[in-house]
Amino acid sequence: MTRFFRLLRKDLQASLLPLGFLSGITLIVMLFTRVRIATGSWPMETALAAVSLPLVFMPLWLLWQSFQTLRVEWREDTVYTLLVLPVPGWKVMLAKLAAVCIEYSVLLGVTVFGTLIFFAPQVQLAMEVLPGSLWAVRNGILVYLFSLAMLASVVIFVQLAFVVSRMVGRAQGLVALWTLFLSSWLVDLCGSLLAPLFRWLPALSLDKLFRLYEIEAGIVVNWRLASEIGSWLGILGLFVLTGVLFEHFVEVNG
Amino acid sequence: MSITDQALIISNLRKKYPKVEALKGVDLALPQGEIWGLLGPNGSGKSTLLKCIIGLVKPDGGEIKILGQVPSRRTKAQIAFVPEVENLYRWMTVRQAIDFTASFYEDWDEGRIPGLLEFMGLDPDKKVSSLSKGMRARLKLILALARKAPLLLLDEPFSGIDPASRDRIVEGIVRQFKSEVQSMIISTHAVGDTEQLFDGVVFLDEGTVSLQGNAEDLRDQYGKSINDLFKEVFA
Amino acid sequence: MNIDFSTSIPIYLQIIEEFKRQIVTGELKPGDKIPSQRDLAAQIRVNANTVQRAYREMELMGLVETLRGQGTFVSQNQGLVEETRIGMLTNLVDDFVRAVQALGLSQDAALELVKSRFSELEAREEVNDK
Repeated sequence: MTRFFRLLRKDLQASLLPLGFLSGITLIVMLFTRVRIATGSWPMETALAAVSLPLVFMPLWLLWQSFQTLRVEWREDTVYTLLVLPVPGWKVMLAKLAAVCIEYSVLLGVTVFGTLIFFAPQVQLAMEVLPGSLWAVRNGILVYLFSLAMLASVVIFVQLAFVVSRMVGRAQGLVALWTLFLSSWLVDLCGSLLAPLFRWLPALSLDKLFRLYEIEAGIVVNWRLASEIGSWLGILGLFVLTGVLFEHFVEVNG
Repeated sequence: MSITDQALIISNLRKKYPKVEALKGVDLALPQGEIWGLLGPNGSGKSTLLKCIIGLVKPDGGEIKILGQVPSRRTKAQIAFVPEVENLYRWMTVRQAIDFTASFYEDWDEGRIPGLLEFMGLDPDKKVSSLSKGMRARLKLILALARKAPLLLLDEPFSGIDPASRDRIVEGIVRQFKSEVQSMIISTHAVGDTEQLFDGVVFLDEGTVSLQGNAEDLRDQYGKSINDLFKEVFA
Repeated sequence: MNIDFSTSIPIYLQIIEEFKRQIVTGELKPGDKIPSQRDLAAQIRVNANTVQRAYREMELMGLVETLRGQGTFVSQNQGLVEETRIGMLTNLVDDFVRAVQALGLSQDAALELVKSRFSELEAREEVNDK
């Protein structure tokens, strides 16, 4: 596995600069908002909007990053190094996937850290409404894992689309777009086709986890495990396919 | 001659790109322990041929046998390939580029690195992006020469670099090449003062082999240098 | 060693010629150690197999001998050195004779010319030495 970690380290190092930049921006926005609140020049709504601004950009950046991490290899000709290595294609792809997931985790960590540091009183206030800190941590982790899984699936779609687009000489953008459509349709199909097989699985409902003290409100997430499992298997299949295509079918430009 | 005498056997290799037929049935046999020059002008198919061997390009037909095996992940581990393009990660330092490559190859000989760095005049702490083209070419060669790979493929290692770097690279190849266990193909379109490197040469002309043989035999037979022969064939 | 290659002649032959020249002129003395094959190859930037071939041929001719683990040495055989010198000179004279014949010069005229050139060039060297 040392080869995998070497690839992962390379992908992380390559995106160290934008990651540091985004973390810095997030913290600066928080600090600025904090000062605004302290001086009373911003109402709570404006402050909330300002703080969530980096959170809006984060998924966009991660999406861009999952595409960029591959595109740069081609643009800079380093794909000549990557394709020559005696490693299976899925390892190269997994390293890139893991790198994006780690970058997401770091950004999330920075956001949580910043919130706890700069908005301690507000956090304190929120904790009073919630059923306890243990509850908050447990649900926080659950939400984090759920979002991580979502992110990973999106990255896998992007990776497949990109790799397929590199197998044709022309209309690469169009091919990538079509691959995205086709693969998401395939995953959907996989989900509904395999659903009967997993009918015995219970449906998970996240609504209880989000229910506030005594109040029947909060975010409701229904997780129909039966159809989800099929989709996840489909996505796993796409990932394997991407690895095989990358290792055995992609060519560098003549 | 048995298969084990040949490091590489290529038969009837064909490759067509959308716009051009790059290889039109190439046959080639590289004897074990020799350095062969793959010679031809730009666009003659040299690069495509080398890419087919390492697996960067998938041929349309024909056969490639690397030490008796078809191209695969396993043969990638046995080949040291130096592409013509700048394939190094620019943000890495020389040391990082070396460590990165080292971790993927079991035939890596770290003991060679200090000597190679000194010989090539490379500072391990410098960033790849800050090196001159010639220095980057030297680094690319170090990454190949630090391996005890049975087969080395160098694609245009002398093109577009300063004479001093070219001399260092030629000398580096002569010093490090172990003919007992290694074989090498060097492609170039400028034969000039590198022809004394080659045991044998293959002339590639628009995707077909127009002449191949032992370099000394060819000099003897035609009474001409390989460079003069090259000029004559591709005039 | 420095060889200015004319690459139209097989390189291993040129390496042998260069060693012969050095042995005949006394630059290399009987028993002198000559560079290892790898060192020479690196020095003159020639494929090691080519240098190996040159050394092998020279061993066969008896010009040099390789002692295991010690290196390659110029032969102690003084007779062979003399023989080589005569051989090289004979080749030179043969070339000269053919050229003279091609120009239609008689033997006597040619010898006369050789004599006069000898004294002329020797006189010039004496002047240069002073």
